[in-house]
Amino acid sequence: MNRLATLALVALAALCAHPAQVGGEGRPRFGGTLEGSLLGAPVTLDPPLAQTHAELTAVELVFDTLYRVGPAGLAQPHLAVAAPVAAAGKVVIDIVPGVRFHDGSELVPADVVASLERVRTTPARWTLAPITAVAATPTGVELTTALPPEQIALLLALPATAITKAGRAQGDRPIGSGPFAVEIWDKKTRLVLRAFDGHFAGRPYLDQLVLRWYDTPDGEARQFEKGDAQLSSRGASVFTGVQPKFRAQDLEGPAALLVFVGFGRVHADVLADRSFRRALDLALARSALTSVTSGERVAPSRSPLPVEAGGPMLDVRGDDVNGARAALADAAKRVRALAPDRLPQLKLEILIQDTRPDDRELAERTALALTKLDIKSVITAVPAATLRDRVRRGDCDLWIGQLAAPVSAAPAWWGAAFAAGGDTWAEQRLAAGAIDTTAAHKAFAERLPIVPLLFRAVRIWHRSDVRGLGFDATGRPSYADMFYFGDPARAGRGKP
Amino acid sequence: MPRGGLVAVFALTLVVVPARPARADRGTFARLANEAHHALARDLAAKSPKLVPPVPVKVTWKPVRIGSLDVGGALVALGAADLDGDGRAELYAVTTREVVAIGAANKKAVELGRVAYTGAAAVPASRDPVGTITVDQGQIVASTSAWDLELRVSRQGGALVGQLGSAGSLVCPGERLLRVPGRNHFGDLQQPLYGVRCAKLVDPLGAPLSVRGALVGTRLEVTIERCTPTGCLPVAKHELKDYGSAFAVADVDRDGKPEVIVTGAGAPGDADAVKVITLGGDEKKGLFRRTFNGGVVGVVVADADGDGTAEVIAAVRLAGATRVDLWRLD
Repeated sequence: MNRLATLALVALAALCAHPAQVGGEGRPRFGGTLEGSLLGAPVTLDPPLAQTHAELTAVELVFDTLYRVGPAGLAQPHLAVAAPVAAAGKVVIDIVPGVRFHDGSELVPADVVASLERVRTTPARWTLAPITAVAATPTGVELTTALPPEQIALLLALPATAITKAGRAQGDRPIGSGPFAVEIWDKKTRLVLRAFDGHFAGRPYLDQLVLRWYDTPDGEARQFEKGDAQLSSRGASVFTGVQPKFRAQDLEGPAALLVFVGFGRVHADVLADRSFRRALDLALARSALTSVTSGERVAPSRSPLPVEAGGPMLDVRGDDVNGARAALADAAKRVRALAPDRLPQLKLEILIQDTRPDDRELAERTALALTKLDIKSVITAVPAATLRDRVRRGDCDLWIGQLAAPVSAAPAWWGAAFAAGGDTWAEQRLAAGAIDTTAAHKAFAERLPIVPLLFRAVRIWHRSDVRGLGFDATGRPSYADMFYFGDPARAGRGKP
Repeated sequence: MPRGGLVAVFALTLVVVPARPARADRGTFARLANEAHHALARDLAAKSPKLVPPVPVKVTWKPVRIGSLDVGGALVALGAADLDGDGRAELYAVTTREVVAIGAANKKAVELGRVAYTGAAAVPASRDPVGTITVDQGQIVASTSAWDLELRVSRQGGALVGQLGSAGSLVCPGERLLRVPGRNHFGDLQQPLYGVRCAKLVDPLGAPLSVRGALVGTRLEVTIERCTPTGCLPVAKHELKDYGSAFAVADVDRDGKPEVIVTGAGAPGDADAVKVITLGGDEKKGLFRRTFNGGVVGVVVADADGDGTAEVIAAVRLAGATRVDLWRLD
């Protein structure tokens, strides 16, 4: 027997004597600090005012809703004991007794009533449009509505309806009942959350969660590559082929984040004109938007409805410049500033948030579309709070915004999309009953309250010792379920 | 020793060691001592139960999947008992919603019935649902982190009946533990206790043994006590490292040496293995080892087919699934 064969036999014998180590049903462990990220700076953690993916992610960690949307797109009881029960034109919902806020006080039916009543006074009022009255019962709440219980549960799973203490608006130190309590909120760089031991659904595994945001395209990947962060949503390394310090695995959620172009009021006559909006919509080369990604799935769209919620599959053939010019010509009949002789003087400002680096690229694509229409533009990056404030005041021309909702919940997408453009069409339809999809598509195409650009997923690269990763139906990472298990593996020579 | 026995021994001692007589007779003293010794031996023999040494059986390890059942919730514990008195143990799967009775005779698992939990939900619950099962006074006693009170399941008129029991978790007869609120373990934060299993066995001579296994972190601590009618005294302690939360203690081959049936300590959702180890034997080699693609969520040793010999049965699932595969390993 030659030496090679002998070595092979010895190796085989060793393998038989020491079978490969396997894993199993070990229990998740508690403890540790995890450094992750938000897709931009949050401006508010007040549930009804939260809009962006970052804000909705943080709200989900600090507050609880009566229901949650499960993996199959169905609402599941969360603070509610069970599904809503319909009786004589009312819907009754009992809440879990013994739930506590972060300050130790008990969450009672009056808190639920006050929270829902306040939602009806905010821009998110469309979420409760089908509900005409809210009253407390000894064990929960009673809603007056004509909507079937399962649809009510879906609306009460939306982040805007999260319960705050006495329904109060939330400021810099929000008090919720969620799995994490706010420890530090440095509005420039990070949000530090501390595990809430008394969370009714179970204490989160991590002791502390640090969520950062970055104003450079490669800042987050650089942190992960060096081993200073355990998660990254913008790649595992700055340069392709470079290995991060620790081996990375990745996971992607549903494409439940809609990026859109919104309209301000600085050039109100131009921006409010539906033909101008249609011209911009047609001039956008959406096929090129697929390259605006750090590796996550991107689905360009002209509809605010994802495919999972019944939205159309986009025929990505690029722009329709002729159609766009025709629409612009139609607009010019009404808007003097769009007349060919006045067009060279028109310059639109596109606002973007400085902590969402991808938005600059999307703004550039929007600017390119305007150029095709012979309209000049300038891109201005501003802090998140400034963007929110200027949009609220209408002090801009165009802005790049985000919406996130449970991916298969069509009413939520219609409601959010119309509301983001300040249009009450969906709210009125919801108040009258359910939204008809065909009518909604038609109304949206006519009015274009916003111009959808793309749906995107969130993809997370993580160290191998970070376990329990997942996403909810809104594409928010399940930070409360994450835990450390074992040690991080050093990156090898293979692919990251 | 019972009090009567102590009194007898004391009385005999008085006989054996009398006050020194004025004229001691060495022959008389020896005769009296001999008689006392025999009397004591007769007395002790009359009071001790008759020891019946176990009859070793030859175990043939041959894993067979006996069924795949959707238990309708996260399986948190698996136990067995013959509640219907047919001589064959039923399996009882504890989920976060119900206790599911499963017949495993004829090498095929079939659902026999379910009893739902009622009462108040646990607040705070555990993000990682966990549970316990034990047999106490002819009832299955099941607890889960999702509910405040345990569920006691019995058979009445052929039907499974559940009634609410006490707070906490009865992990072994006479041993009740309280889960750390909001967490998936008993004990304390530094020494999380994930599970306890007990078994009443006999040693090779037939003397009763009480075996208790406790999983602290990933360390399985097994204590063996030899028991007499008056109590139990520890005779051995074993520590096994890096094992998972599904485990059982039993004497699978009936040789009087307890075995532990252990699973892997890997992360939830990883592949898993069942291993049978004789305590004090070769831990690395073990008696048997079988790997599974899913996680082993429960193991139980029970005579499911009524042949007089207990089998090792394992429940395997993919992470988060409510469907479990049941494997009979021998």
